[in-house]
Amino acid sequence: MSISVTYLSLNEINFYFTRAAVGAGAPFGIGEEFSEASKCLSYLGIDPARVAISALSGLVSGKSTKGIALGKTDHVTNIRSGNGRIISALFAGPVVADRLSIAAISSREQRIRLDDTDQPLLVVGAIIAADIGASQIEVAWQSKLGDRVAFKMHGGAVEITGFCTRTLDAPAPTPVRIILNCERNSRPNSGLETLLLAQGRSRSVEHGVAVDNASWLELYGFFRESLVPASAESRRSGAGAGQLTDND
Amino acid sequence: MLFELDDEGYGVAVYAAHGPQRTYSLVAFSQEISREQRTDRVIAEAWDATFSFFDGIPGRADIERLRANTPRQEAGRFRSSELTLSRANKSMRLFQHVVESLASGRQPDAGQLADVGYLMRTTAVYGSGKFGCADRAKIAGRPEMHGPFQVEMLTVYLIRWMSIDLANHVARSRGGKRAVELDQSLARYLGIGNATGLGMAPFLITHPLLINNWVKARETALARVRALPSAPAGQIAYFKEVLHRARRYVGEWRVEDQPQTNRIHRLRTDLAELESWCATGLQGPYPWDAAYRYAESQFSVEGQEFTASLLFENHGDIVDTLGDEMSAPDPPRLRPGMPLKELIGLIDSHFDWAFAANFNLPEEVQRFWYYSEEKLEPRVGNRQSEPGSEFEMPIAVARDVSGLREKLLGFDSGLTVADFLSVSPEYRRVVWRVQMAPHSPYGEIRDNLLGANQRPVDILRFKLAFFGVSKFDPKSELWTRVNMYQGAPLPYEISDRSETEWVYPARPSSRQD
Repeated sequence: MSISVTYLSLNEINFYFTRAAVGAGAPFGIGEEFSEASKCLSYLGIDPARVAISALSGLVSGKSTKGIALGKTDHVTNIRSGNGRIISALFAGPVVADRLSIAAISSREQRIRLDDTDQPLLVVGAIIAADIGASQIEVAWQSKLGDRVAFKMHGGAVEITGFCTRTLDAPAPTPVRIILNCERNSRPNSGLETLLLAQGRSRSVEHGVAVDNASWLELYGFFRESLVPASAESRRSGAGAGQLTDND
Repeated sequence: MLFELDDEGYGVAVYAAHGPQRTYSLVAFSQEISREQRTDRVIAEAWDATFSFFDGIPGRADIERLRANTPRQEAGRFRSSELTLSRANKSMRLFQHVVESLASGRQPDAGQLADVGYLMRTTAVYGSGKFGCADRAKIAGRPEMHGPFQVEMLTVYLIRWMSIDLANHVARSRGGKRAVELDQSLARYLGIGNATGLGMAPFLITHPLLINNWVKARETALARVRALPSAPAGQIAYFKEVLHRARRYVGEWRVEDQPQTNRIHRLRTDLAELESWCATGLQGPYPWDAAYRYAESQFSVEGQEFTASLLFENHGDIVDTLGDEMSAPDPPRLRPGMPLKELIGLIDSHFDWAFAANFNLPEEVQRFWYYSEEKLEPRVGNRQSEPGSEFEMPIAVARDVSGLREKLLGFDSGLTVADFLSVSPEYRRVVWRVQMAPHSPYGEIRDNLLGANQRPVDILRFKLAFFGVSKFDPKSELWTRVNMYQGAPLPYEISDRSETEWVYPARPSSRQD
């Protein structure tokens, strides 16, 4: 079965994804982090539009929450929902990336446990986007098919285990475990699929990012929510033109 | 490379620019539109001419694909083989006059030609990944495209030539053997017009590092020129010659906008004073510094800036290389480990200007900037009387920094930015903005863009000035027309190295004059 796709530029991901998040109720700064994370997922060959829809829908429907509470037990930072609902990955991703960045600078191990999250891939994207100079970061969760999914990031390389594109559209809410390891000799295992981010970025720049048409249209719908309705008055004076035709 | 236009000038044409390593092609589509359709606004649906700027030489399949998309502009889809997307409308009063004159065997009236200054006016030049076109990253490493907006400027330069070619073609078709070509000096005086609206202003706000680099290049250039201890007699003579030409050029600059008319009148006085001062003022040590100091102490802001431009024109050998430093890498990421105490310190040391306005007053937050659902046209609205301010563009740096400063009062200053943002994610963008300040000291427009008295067209002018535009012609406080490449060599003149300087071109005279 062939899937109809649209090719987006990275700049379009910036523009539309940021504002799609705003249309779904996120503040602009979170929207920008979301678009950066989405771009990074595209470098791994993952369709960022398909990833985005469940997270944006969760925000709009109220199933996912922006409210996050931080706690710490036994050297593990716990990120919990502030109100018992599923945590929105749009909001959790930057929080996780911030914690890891701080730990990496001070060269200490960091373990984070994230409660049920609507789209773990966006957490992966947020961590890649943060460009953290740690030796290794692993993000792992259990897919709704029961498999263990893990993304190991090491410098500019990402090693992926157990990931299946079938789970992109409707991931089950799942806890996510994140470990930042600062040991110098820690490297991804050989023999598994390893993707180089720089190559992925070059590919996206050269050819654009292929996104599933149906998901793109849905995302565009969230984007449209961030636009302001037109009126006769705004059409006449909002852009400052004295006339609506220019034949001089 | 290809010229398939009918007798009325409708069809497709391709113009190629060959560089040492690469070729770029302007693919132009010309069509007939009605008077009711012709508008400079983003909300236009049809244009006299539309353009795709192709990376390389397009094949027939590329041209056919573009024929189906380029005339639709924002409604079309493009590939990374296209670097820009643009459109232009004819200046009806001048285009028809030029064509009719040439077709009947005479040159157009030089006065009319000079009054308008262009045959076509571009109304948008989209680059950097818009509508599927190539991202800037695709070409940023190429020497000829390293400077910002080089691909957009090359696009409009070729559109200028296409507009002249188009007028000659239609005149030939109508006049047959009787027709004549547009005189070279008249053609060279024609630039390419541009109508610019609000979209440029948010760009400036959202690219602080880029804007910083532009202004830094300008300040560095000025510092280099002012630091010269002496000037050869030939250079002084050349400065006076360019100043003389500039005075004549400014004397011909007329606009309807009253505030700008007042500024132009004062500028004429300033330049006359500068010319008088130059009789003796340039004879001492550090002559260019003296000229600038004189301008700074005696002239209007317009006069001071014009003096700086004259100094740059006179010193291409030491300022032109700064153009390579005007692009910007990706900006630094947010630093989550920064203590709030340090963040507050950055606000207090870099954003004192942000606290000049009282944002509790309605007039200080009257405007809001937004994208309309109508073709995503950038617009401004009145916060008190129009809906939609919850979706305003995030360009109110002064208000947002002021709000952040107040919010931080409620937090322990020993906490980190990460701690703060985990409970206040809505401040993420402005926190990053504050952290950017030490990296981009020239990166902020130090004003309240929401204020009722704000004049956005001045922001547009700031950006357009870096493109080298002339004849700034504000049509309201929200949009302007300008001219580009007026007096610049024509494509077949570029290889003639004697044509290296063309600023402030002399108004041409008709052969009949």
